[in-house]
Amino acid sequence: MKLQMKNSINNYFLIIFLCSVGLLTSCKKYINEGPIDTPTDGNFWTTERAAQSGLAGAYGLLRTSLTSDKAYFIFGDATANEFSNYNDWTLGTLSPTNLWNFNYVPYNESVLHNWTSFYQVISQCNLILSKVPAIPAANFTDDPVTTRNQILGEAYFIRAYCYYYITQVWGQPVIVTQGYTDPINAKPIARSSDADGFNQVVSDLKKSAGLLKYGYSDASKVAVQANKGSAFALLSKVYMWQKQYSLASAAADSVIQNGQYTLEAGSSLGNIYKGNDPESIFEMNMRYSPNQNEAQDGFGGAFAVFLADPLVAGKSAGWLANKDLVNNLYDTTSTSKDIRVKSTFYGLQTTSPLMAKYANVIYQNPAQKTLPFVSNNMVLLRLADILLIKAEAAANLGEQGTALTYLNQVRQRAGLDPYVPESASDLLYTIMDERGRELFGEGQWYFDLVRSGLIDDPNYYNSIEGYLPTRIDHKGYQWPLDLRALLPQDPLLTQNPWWAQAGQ
Amino acid sequence: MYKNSTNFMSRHSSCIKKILNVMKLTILLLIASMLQLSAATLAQNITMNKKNVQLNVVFKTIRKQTGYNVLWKPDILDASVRIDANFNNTPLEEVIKACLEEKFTYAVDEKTILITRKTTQDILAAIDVQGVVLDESGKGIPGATLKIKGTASVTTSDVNGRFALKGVSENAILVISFIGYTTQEIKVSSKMTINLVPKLSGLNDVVVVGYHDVKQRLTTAAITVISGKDIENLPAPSFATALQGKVTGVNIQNFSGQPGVRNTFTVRGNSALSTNLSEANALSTPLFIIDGVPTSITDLGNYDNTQTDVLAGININDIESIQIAKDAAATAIWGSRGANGVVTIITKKAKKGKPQVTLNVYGGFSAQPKLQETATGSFEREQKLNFLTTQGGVHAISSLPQMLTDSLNPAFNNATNWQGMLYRKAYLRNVDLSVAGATDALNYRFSLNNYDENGVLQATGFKRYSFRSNIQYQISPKLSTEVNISLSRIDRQPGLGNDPHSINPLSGFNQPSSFYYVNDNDISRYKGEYNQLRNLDRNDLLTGFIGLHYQILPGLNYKVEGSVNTNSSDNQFSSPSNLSAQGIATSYDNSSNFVSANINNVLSYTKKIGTNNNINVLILQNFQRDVVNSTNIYGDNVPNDNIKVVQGVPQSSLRASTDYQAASLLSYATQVHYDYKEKYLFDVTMRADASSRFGANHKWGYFPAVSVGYILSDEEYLKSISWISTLKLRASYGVNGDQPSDFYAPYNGYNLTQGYYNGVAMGTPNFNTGNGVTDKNLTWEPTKQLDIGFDGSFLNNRIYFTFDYYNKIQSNKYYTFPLAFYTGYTQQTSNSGLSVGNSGIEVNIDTHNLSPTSKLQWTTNFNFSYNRNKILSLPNGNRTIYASYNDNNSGLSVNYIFQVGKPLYILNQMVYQGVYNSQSQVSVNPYTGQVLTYFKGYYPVKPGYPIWKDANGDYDVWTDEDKGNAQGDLLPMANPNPAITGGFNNNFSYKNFSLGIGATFTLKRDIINSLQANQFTNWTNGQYSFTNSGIPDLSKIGFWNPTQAGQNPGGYNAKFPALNPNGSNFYQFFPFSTMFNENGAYFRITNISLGYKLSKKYLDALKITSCRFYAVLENVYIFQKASVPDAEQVNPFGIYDGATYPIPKKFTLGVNVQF
Repeated sequence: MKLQMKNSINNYFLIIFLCSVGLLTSCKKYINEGPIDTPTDGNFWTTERAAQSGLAGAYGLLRTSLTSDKAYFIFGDATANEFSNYNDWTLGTLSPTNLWNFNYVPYNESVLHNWTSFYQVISQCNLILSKVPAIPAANFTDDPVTTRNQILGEAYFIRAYCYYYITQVWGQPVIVTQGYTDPINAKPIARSSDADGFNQVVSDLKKSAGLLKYGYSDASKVAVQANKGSAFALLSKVYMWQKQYSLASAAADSVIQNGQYTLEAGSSLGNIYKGNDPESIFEMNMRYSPNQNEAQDGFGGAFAVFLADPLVAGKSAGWLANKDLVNNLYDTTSTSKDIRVKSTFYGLQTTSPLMAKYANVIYQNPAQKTLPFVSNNMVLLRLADILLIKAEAAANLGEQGTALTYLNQVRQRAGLDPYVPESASDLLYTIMDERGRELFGEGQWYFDLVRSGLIDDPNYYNSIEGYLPTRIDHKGYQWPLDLRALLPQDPLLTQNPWWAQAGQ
Repeated sequence: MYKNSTNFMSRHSSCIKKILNVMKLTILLLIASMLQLSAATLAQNITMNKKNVQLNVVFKTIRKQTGYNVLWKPDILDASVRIDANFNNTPLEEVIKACLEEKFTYAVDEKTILITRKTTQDILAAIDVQGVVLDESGKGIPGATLKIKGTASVTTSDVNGRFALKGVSENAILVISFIGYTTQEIKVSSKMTINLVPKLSGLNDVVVVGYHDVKQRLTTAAITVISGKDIENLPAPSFATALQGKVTGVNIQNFSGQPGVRNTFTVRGNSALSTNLSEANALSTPLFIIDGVPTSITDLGNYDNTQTDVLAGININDIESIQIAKDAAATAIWGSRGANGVVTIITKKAKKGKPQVTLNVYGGFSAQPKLQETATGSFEREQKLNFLTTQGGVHAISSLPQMLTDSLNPAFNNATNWQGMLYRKAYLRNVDLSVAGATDALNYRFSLNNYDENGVLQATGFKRYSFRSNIQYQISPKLSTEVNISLSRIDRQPGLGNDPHSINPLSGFNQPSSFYYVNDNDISRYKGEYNQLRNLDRNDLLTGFIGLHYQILPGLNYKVEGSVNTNSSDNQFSSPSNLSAQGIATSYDNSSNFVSANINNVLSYTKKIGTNNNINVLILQNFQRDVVNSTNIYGDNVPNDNIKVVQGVPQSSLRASTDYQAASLLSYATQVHYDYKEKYLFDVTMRADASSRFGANHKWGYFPAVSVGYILSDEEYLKSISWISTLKLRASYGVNGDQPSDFYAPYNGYNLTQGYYNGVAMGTPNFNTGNGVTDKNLTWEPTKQLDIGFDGSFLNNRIYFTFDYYNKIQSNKYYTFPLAFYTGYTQQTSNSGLSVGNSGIEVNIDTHNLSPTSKLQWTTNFNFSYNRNKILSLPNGNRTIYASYNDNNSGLSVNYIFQVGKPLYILNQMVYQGVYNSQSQVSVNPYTGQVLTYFKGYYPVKPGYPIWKDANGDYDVWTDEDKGNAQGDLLPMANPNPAITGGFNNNFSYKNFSLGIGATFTLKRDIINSLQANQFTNWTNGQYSFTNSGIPDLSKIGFWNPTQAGQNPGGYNAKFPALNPNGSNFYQFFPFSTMFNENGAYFRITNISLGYKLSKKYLDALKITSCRFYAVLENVYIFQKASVPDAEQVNPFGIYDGATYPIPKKFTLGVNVQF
């Protein structure tokens, strides 16, 4: 009896032992267990839904890059002296008000001299371009070919926009068109030339235009996602940088004739910035929606810098519209016909004039007027812009009549009389002034002045002080790179010539 | 065993008979020695004639001729000695006498002659002895051995510690011994009360090395053992706090006095390096093994919502011992988790004897802490007016703020020291109830505990309810089981927030001036945050452990152990609308459940080969799986302030997420111990770990260690030196490792939580985090450690000394690399060329200052460790790394530099050398003729300016980081790593009284008084800033004063530069210069405890076993050089910002009763 019990205990232990050994061998699978709270490279790119999500990621990252530290408005507007510093440290340290003339870069607005966030957008596009073609047709809920083309075409467009923007702002981009699977061992890459940068944009846009269609499949996608019209619109602008005026003109024609865009009525110009407007060609979706809020905060967001009480209850002013420039550009007299003066500015007669294009404020607590969000989209390309591009290209090609037609189309909508040119250069100056008036606070005018060479043109009334010809000759209109942060990552990186010489 | 001239074994094959015989002989021996038994009864005669014959041959002959067996102890009598036998019918008595030398005697029992050594004492009157053996707390010790010296007379004490010996010589010396206690020798008397003193030398203690239980004498590892007695009843939530100053090589700095908050606990120096500096990742922490269950505080901390110290879930009074394993010999068996030391906590088990019920209660209070010195009322006004007028000149006089000039205005006519409003005298109490008992088969102990401590700041506090049950049951002679269960709930009130720096709305530099009229609104504004917030941090900790032990063959044991360890942490928060700037009420609930399951299969074999070779082999398999589930719910716009949870919140204001993460570790290991004669010791350990936290290419890590020991004192030539009790040399070398705290470190997660674009969730790789890239090569951080140690005890173990030298190198450390921007990924955490060395010495001395028999007992422990921390290599070809830490309180940043050869976290600072008294002292650039400038040329230096060293010689002193120059005029200066830490502990006992004094010290540490930097900076922001702020007595600070400088330009040494609220502000009071560096050394009397145990007659009257009253004073006094209120209240980066929780003084009274 005793012996038996002992045996049974032995057997019992044998069982436990074998079980635990068995358990341990099955444990090995746990050693290779991956996360279930997040997709990984291995399993993300498998469905149309994921591809759409990846595409939203690319748009979202672009939005982040353009809005962070108000980069879009610093690069495109503040530099053109459209705003005067009121209470904003960034603008104060940059602007002519404190005699910095944009020749010193404050160290805490990292996006101004660090292009990494734009390379994240590019990297995302590269991922889409390499991964989406491999998604099996069966995993698409819509028509696989059309949908795939649509997604790839948009990815090419976004990549093109990034290279366009990088080349505009810093110049000499590092060109990367492949997704990185092993970034730890990435080889150093040298910068390309500005021309290569723009060539890359053209090449991507041609592919994009080939894949995309005019019009939108869905009203909710109007202008907030790229289409064929967006690709041609941007193409026309790159060709202007390349001074390929006939190509620019042709691309603009594609937009104007086939794009199905219409100018917003002069009486409701504010609608352009409220999203999905028929005039808009490409914009960043930033409208307020209660559940998936993409809107900018009314106190601290990118648009908030333009706003103050009463446009946002209780907010003090950030950037004020530069009254000198506004008075130069627009007819601000009481008899002014320019309806843009009223729609663009608020309190122009006061000491604190505000730029009010993005003032569609929604309070999350409407009763107390607290938690404000700005429900406006950031318009990057719109018909009026392309009409003026067409006019500028035509003027450069010596087609004065065509130029006037398109210029006056924009003037007419603004309530102005048709322009009668005095000279060829005067026409160009006027087109540029018109761009300044039309696109005030839309991140464009500085680049227009650079591109056209008017930035330091002694004969141009609105050329920018501080940008002397020597600075322009050494590309001092481009922003510097933060080599302290970036050089360790890429030993082949060089500083922009003017900044290298200035010692930064 | 006694040798027998005849073959005992063959005659009595039955074991039982043998045992009986041995017993009988023992008794005989006793009687013989006690009564000096006469040998006159030997009547028979012997005849034997042989020359040069061995004694045992003689004895054999005796047996043959007489039938008497002769027995002797071979270590007493050498029976191979030869004699000339020349007996002719000689009486047996004479034969025996002739065989034996003078020093021997013999006794006879029936047919046995027993040879023993003669006792020298004279035959004296015999007495009967009765007595009791008591432990240090006055409790009876069952099973103590009582032996009459020089005889074989032995008895043991009964369950109550009582014993009796009959017919003992009056002059006899009684030797009383018991495991773990100092053996005492006392002259007998008829009534004896023997108070045993715990042994100083722990060498007979059993220590746990990995999965082995080893006698400390035989271990080759560096392990410090702390008895639970040393820390019991200290009024602290966590044992970690109570260990301070008690363990050499362990640095415990309580930088926050908030009850239940985790403080620093590093073993043998810090090795954690990060460029994303935070207090949480600043220091490396050891692995904790709580009753066999491995617990990683780092893992728990990563998935915790409460930031409560989970170690505080353990009732201090349940702890039997704490063992801190430091070298590779002791920690390599923990493989990938042992690099930062291993702390083993063993909870109490019952001692054999009748069931014991113990009730232990203490209570007391924490005193309101000393407030920062503050000037109030008219004194403040006078100070400020004087200051502004002397420092500020004409401008200041013409525009003095109304607050200063209008003393009659009731709004500005107050004298409130605002800090005081938020502090309180806080009460604490602790109740323990335990039941314990043990028989041969069953050992059980149950304990209940409630600890409740209120914090000295409003709405802070800590409550613990805990239950622990330890049961061991011997199912059959070969099979036993062990079941341990522990449950505890911790409710911590964190006050305003979980961030230790936001605990006090008025702490630090931003004290309001005392002038403000304090109305109810002001009070409710400040106090309201405390009263109206609901902020609960709750942890429910549950540990279950089951073990089955089976003896397969003698010496061969198999053990299977399973354990589950869970931590549910929950942070519930609600803030009413009136506390929000936007006027909205907010609630959230973040909860997570961390479950760690662990299975061990252990096979061990112990074998003695021959008489001298001891071998012990252990192999084990282990699997551990950690799973975390978490839920986070957040709601804004809670419709009514009386709703303190997330309910009724509009859909748009609601956010929720859940998470599930798992990590696994599979291990195989072996431990081999071999010793020769228990004198030459040799250990080998090997562990192989595979972890799910590693890349596919490097799943397995191997961790070997070898160690040797040599017990010198067992050598003959040292045995004769009586003052040496034990002497042991040890050396070990081995490798162990560290694994990343991120469960999915090798995987590149995609981020789908960053928002939406046009209603579609954005899906991108984690471009901006440390694990955006699949890293198949991610693997361990290996740590190599050499340890050479020495243990010695002297003068009958009255002095016990331990010394260790160690050199520990952690290489291939995780480091977050910047990745090339054009890849899109910004950084990756991976193994790097970063290595950190810690080397040092540890010394521990325990002394028993008075004779063990003295009525007054005094023991001293002195320990210290010196650690040198050094960066040995850095990634990217040893490129220097810069990092900055933002003061949580003010946002002012402090620069750190990581440079090869320098310690971790050394501050990169401009060197402050005093104040310029006159313009002639300021240097001028000989090439340009320009006077020295500060801040990129903007401020030509004037009298009253600080003297900052122009380290780069460019005639401008600045950090220059915005010029792309990393170093500027900065130099590596302050070192916040304490070089020397230690403790000095004394215990006294006299009759029923005991007194313990514990002290701890830290030497050679630099700290930064950033509170002062913040205050001064605030005052330089214009006179309104200055006027509105609370101030200390300004005249004591030592700001540069133009008048004094003018009077004595050569000899005036102002402590600080001129501070003019309206003057130029070039950030002169930022802590980026050494202006606020202070000496962080301190010596703190951490506790004084006084005890009194009730004497026997009262106990008997009350019918209780023992009763002890005690009083404890915690945090008694600190001696320090620094001007900060408490030199210990400094964060791991060496920063005192005045915003963390003060370390309060506590007073408690308690009683411990056993039934």
